[in-house]
Amino acid sequence: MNYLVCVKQVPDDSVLVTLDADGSPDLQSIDLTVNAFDTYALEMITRVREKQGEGEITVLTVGGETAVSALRSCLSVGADKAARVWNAACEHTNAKAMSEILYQTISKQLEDGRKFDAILCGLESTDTMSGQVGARLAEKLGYALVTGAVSMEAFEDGFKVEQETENGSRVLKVERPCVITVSKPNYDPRYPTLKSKMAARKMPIEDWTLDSYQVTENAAARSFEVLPQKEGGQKIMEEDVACSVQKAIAIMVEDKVL
Amino acid sequence: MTKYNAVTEEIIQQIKDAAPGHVLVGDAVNEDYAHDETMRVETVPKKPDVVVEARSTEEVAAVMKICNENHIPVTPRGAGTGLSGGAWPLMGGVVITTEKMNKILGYDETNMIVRVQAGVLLATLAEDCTSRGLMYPPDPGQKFATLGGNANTNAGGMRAVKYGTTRDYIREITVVLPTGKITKFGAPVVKNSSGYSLMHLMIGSEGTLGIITELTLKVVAAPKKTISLLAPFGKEGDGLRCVPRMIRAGLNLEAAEFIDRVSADKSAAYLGKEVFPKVVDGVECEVYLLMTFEGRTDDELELEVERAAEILQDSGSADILVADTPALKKEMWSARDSLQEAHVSLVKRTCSFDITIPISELADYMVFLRGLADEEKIHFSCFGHAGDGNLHIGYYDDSLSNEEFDERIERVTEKAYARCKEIGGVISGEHGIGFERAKYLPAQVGEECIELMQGIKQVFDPNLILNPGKVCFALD
Repeated sequence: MNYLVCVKQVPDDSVLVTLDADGSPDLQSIDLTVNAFDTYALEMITRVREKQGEGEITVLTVGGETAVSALRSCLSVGADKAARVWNAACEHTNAKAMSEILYQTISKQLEDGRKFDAILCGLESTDTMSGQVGARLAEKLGYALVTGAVSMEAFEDGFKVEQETENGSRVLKVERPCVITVSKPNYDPRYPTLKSKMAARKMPIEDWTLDSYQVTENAAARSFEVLPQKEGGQKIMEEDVACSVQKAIAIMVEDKVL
Repeated sequence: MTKYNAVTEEIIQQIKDAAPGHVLVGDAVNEDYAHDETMRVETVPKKPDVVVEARSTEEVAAVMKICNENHIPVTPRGAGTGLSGGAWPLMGGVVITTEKMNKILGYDETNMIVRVQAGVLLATLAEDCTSRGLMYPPDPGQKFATLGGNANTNAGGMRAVKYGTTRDYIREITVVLPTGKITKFGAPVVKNSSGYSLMHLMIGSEGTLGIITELTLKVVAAPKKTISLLAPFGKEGDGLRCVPRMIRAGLNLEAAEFIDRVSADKSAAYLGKEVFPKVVDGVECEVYLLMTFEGRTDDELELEVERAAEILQDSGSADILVADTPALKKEMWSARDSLQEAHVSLVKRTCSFDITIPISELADYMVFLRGLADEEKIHFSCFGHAGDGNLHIGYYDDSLSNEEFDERIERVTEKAYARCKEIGGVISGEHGIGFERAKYLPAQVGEECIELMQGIKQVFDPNLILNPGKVCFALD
């Protein structure tokens, strides 16, 4: 079986991001890393592959030269192949444009005879957190989609996927080919070993960039304005909800709101 | 034993006048002020009569003066995270806590120093330094201790192998003496050869000579790049014997910790995840070395790691796991930081040692300690700072009665300390003596040394009111 994992390089989310004078995030001193949800996706499919005893995992990213290190990280923890896409159309993309770039890139690979039984994406990226790319990609490819997977296993002609729901989880069966977006499973991604990192350093990175991309709409947020915090207000933190409600009513009565 | 006076209503009023609005008495005194985080103590915690939440050096001085004049025992306190009972008010009286003196007073980045109040937490300063591209190197596992507390025990931590201990980062301190006088020791300079270093005498004195209220600390430029490696070993001795080789090779080693199998299992049970894998490449792991290396560039770091890998593999490491992203580094080191917490949360009674020995003796001493556990039929686990020989040892067995446990621990302690002394070690590397280890100190340092310590104590504190029953004056 062949699997494709779409990964994104993001600023380390454990560091507080400050804004430059123009309101754009100051990312100069922040280390770049693979989006956490994408690492969960890679770990999940690596476990499926290990259980099956066969399969090939390719990681794909859209990013500049620095994204090579993200791909090498993936190669050291389970991926067999890595590919990168980058040209002017890829800069400052929003979720819609990104899904179009991925769709066109993957379509070309399919035309060239490649086959992907499952395409995995992180549920969302930790920088922009739109959570749309996986779903949009599935729609364009016409593939079945399962979002928020927390575990999966190969099953007959598809996969059995445990999907996180508001009340817990449910198990869905999905046929190949499909797109699966991955949430946080109850395990952590493996650590790379020194041997696997050294091996990853020598592995080739394929270039899947197309000559041109048709991107229909691309308005991405570039800067933020932090509005001043509202002054006043009062925190109500009573022992339980009932007491908090009573306190809130009492305050509103006192202030003649009620 | 020194006789102290009771805290009368009149004295309480004087203290309230000296520190208006910052004095707790009666039911307002929380039970937490009776102890710190020390485990296995036969002594029943005694609540202090009065707690002063000091806001300034002058307030501390005014209260000290009142207590000295009235022969009231005073126990200084930081965040109460000590592990040798230094903050236990054994004789009741007054506790002066510097917790509310928690301001970072300012950086002087030309001279690479920062001035802080004693109640600033280590975590607060570390984070603030990071945001400026600086680093305050002392890195004890307990990040929520105060910097005043760190100075009082000369706390060390993970980075001691490269950077040394708290002592190496203090330039000047403001101290309130037991008489209530305010003085400064040291100076904000690099070199100081001007008379006896009373500052260094004060560091590690565990609040028995004076109360530190402000500190001027040295900071360094934060390392540009770091990488952490976890090397599991099938044989404990192989792992521990590898550490001196790494140091001798001149590697840019910021930290080198070891974790034994039992401690790793406790970490997995406590955290609910296995950061230290039990089996690697078919090898059952007995011990782990967790290391951080520094470098200025990625290439430099890569070279450093390759040199380290050669030594680790040659020493018998089963494999080497790499934490090169902030998330992985955080996960590995958080697991290391939580070992003590994991240990105390999973056992009901335990004793905990803070022995430090020459690193050349690590492997053999561990064999000796395990032998003691077998001899006394008691459980044993250990982790610590492999790079500086500081071991955090736990002997425990919840199936024993309190009496049986105490008897066995007493025998184990005496034998462990005696052997430690024979091989050139000390009974505390960073937790301090407090009152838990006070009775063992004379055997460690000798009678002459104890007499000198007692003489010094009496020069500073003629009425012996400050932190009674600690370090060189054990209670009878």
